[in-house]
Amino acid sequence: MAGPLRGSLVLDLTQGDGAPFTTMQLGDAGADVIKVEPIQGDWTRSLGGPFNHGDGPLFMAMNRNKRSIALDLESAEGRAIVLEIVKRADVLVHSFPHASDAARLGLDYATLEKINPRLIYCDISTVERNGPEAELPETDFTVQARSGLPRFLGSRGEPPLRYGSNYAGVTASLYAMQAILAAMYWRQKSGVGQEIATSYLRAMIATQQNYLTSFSDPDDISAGGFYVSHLEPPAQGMETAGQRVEMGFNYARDPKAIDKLAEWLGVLDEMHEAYPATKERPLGQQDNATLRPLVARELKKKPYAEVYDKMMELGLQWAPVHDYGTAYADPGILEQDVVRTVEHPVRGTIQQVSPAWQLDQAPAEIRLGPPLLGEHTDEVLGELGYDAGRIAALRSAGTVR
Amino acid sequence: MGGPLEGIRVIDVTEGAQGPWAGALLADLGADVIKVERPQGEMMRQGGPRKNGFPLPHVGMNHGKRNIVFDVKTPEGMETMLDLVRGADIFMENWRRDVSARLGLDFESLRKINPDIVYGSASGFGEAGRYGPLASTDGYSQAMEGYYSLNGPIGGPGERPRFIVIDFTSPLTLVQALIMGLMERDRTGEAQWVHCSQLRTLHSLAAVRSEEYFASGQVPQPMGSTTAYCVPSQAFKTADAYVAVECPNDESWRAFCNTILLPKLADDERFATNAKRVENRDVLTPILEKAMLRFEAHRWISKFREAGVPCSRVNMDIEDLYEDPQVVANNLIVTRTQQDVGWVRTNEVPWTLSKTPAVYGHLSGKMNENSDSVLEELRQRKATPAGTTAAS
Repeated sequence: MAGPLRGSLVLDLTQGDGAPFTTMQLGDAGADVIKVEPIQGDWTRSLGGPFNHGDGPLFMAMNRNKRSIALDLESAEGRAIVLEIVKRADVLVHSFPHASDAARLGLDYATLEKINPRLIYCDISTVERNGPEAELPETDFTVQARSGLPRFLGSRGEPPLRYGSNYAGVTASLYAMQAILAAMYWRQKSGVGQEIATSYLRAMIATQQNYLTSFSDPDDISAGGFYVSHLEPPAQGMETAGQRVEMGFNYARDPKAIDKLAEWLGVLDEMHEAYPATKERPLGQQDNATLRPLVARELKKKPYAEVYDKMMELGLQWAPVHDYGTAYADPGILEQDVVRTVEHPVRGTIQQVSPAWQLDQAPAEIRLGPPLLGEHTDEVLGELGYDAGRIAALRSAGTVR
Repeated sequence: MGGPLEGIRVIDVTEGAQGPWAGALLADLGADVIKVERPQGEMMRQGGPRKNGFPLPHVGMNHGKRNIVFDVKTPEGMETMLDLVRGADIFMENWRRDVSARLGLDFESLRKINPDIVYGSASGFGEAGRYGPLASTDGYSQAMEGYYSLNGPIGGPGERPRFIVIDFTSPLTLVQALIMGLMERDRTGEAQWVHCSQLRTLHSLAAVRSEEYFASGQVPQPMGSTTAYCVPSQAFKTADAYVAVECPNDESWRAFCNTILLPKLADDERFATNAKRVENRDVLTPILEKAMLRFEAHRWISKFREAGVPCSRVNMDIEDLYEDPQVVANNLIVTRTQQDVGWVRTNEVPWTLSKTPAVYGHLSGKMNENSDSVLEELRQRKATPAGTTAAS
């Protein structure tokens, strides 16, 4: 098994629209991740479609490189199985809905630390475990709304919008993952585990830290484009014939690049007339707002293939404005290894988005597709020493599936 | 007790947001992060609102680091840099892809002088390939990745969140990669080269929409405040403000129907499961939108909370965050003071660690502020025979 976490065991008690991303990353890094699901399965399995063998896109996006065992945590036998895994585990991650759940199930850190002092225990909540609203049910979407993310989209006076992906949940998971790794690193020296906590809300506050600092009674809030104005039109790129593009004029390596672009568009004279370059402010340093309308007017008439060649030649800052149809057809994106395929015994060949990081000496692998519910129940119980007779009895009692 | 990375020394030559925020997080985790800045000042010294002359985004994004300024293009500067690298665990850069080799500070050069260095590279569009050389900032990687197309009003062309979506998340993947690099280095004794790109981080972050595409072949579209995978899940207009509601399971759906006084909807075969509600969203949504107009937002919120339906106010101003009861109760936003800058509002550390608590370090202030302590350590290390550890 490759990856820096090869040989590690992760007990995954997460469910939902964010936290399972944490344990998936641990799996991508080489850990053996055992996902313990309730008998009816992670609640995101049924969210969708489109569905793959009954499982929706949220589940499919956050649960590869895991083995699934389905069991009833409310039963004593179910909890006994989990405690067997705790004894062997390096990391436990949970996202129980209520602060009291872990203690009620006997799965709180104070209890488990006694069983396994090396255990790293990570609790991911939506809006923290303390406070007057800690017990309210929340999701990625409600935390987005609570965190003020809609103010970064759309126009004032129009209906609010959401980020088009589970941004709060996944960002919290990125933070959880780094804390877990840091705790694992410290354990190499100290020999002991510890308890980690984070939340979707905490992550959304950390993620907005440069707005928090910028709004600390500054001399001039509108400087440097940090003031989010709903009076400006939303950024949507510029049209070419065939593909929208985004383009900026501030980062040219070649000071003549703007002139060359204008010449190619046939507006060199018009541009110099409209926006005369001065010694203090050469043309390439004109801000986007002044040059943009003129460039946009002419760009519309140019075929995208020609725009592509010209932009690559000039070295101006630019990018195609892709959707997923054009992005996954762009050889420049595909050569970045953004998508991989994995074989699953039932699902067949499926596509997965690659792990974000790359470690040259210990590369990530996608070994397992997202599991079916209880796909590895027998396998995991077998490893824990349960024989076929006991497994059958547990199954007929409804303790495992 | 310091943080979990106490004793780890990091040389951070990054600029902007992607690298500097990663360096600040490593400092939160206890690492000794030395920010090497060029004499002109890094990119974020020029940008953003100022307070008492200090650029506020820079001040927060570079907290907890020691700051030293020199020009690596001079022989003396290069010598200082190599001395720093000799005593470091981590070197991190986010230059344009051709710069490190040009300066002689690429992975292969540095591993020769420090055979167990962990070298972190953060890029826009990857190490190599046709887009590799392009300069990237947040908006460009959003455009390239396809993120524009996931946001905006239904039926529209898609739009970019006016928020640094990726500059504050790709640093998180960089931190992960660097810590894993340390683990692998300790295991094998060999230098490590780790990478993160804005492009791959954003793909990974929005994987739910890619999975939608892989499974259906339908290109994901902007969906307003709704989502492809769940109905109802949207910001509903009420008699006054908007309320965000999501029913992720059948129990919350039933509770929602009872609360909006349409209990029969929960028994309607067309809406019996989430999958059916998604399928029949065009029929269902107008019914719900009409019902939600009846009361004011605060009344809906208390009713939904009583019924156990996930919901929230839709906060449209940063000031709303300062007053959020959960933010206040958990001190998630704190005010810190730096003598030159004055008071600054920042985040609390993004995680709690019970035995190695994170320490949010001092805010970044003047350039070259800590050069004395950094250079003194270098001098001591050079004066100490090889194989022993200098006191620091």
